[in-house]
Amino acid sequence: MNQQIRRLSELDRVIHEPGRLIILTLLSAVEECDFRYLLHETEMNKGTLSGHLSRLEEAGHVKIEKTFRGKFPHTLLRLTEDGRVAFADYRKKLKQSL
Amino acid sequence: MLRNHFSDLALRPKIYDNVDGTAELSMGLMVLAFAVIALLDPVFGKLKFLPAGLAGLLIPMYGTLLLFMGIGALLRKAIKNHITYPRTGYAANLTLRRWGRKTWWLAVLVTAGSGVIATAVALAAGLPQKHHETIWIRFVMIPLFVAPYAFFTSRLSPEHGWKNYLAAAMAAGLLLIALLAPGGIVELSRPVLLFSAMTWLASAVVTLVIYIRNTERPVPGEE
Repeated sequence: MNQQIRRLSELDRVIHEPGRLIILTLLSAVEECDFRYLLHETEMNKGTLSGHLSRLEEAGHVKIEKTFRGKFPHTLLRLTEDGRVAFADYRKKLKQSL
Repeated sequence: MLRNHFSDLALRPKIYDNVDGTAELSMGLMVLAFAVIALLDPVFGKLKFLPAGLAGLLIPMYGTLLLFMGIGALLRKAIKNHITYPRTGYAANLTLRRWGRKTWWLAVLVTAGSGVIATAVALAAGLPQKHHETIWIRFVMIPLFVAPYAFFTSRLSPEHGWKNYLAAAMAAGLLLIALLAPGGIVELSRPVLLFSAMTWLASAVVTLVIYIRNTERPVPGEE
């Protein structure tokens, strides 16, 4: 297997999924955002978005903070430093492979 | 291609920042501040409490600018907090947040620096006495005012195709002003600035109305 193709197999599989890739790309361009913003921008349903975010949180790429706005719950999301590094690394490897 | 795809997605938060027209509103108010400065210039000259010379020119100019920028910041905050964030969510733009303070100081320095240079050049050339003007300056004003609007809206408002027509209307309006407005550059700058400010503000208001029409009022407590 040549080196270029082997790099494809080294891609982070948590990130290498279209839904999660969209989420990470959007998060990489903001300091923080809320759940409603990601719902609006990704046009996913709540369940799918929650599932992807949980997976990204487990991998340590995303920090999820549950807060309150008045009496109502408000979920804030941001990319962790590890998440930023992993995303930059993913982009680099993908670019080198294609 | 791959890079473009990532860049397009990464640009989304910046586009989102103007989804309600607030970025255009800020720009419009800034141009309006300059229009007000140009219109009130003869009045400022008669105010006795202002010091004579350059300071008497700069104090009302910066005062008016700060006033309009303050109004812009308050309006933007109100629209974001009461309309945009509850409807389509909150996002803190990374570039604006991280570079916010630095950009602010850079803008202040550039504004102050360009003001000092322009004043020095005007005084050195004796422009206030001569009032000389060439016809091409009248027409240079058209791209000078249309290009920023066209560039800004094509980059940060790509979903609103009607803004291309508004840019064309702005160019046509400025051409008419350049052809018909009497007087020198100072007199010409008043309708030019006012018309440009009105175009930016109209664009902002229409964008906000479209945004409100196309988004749903939030259900309390629902994320």
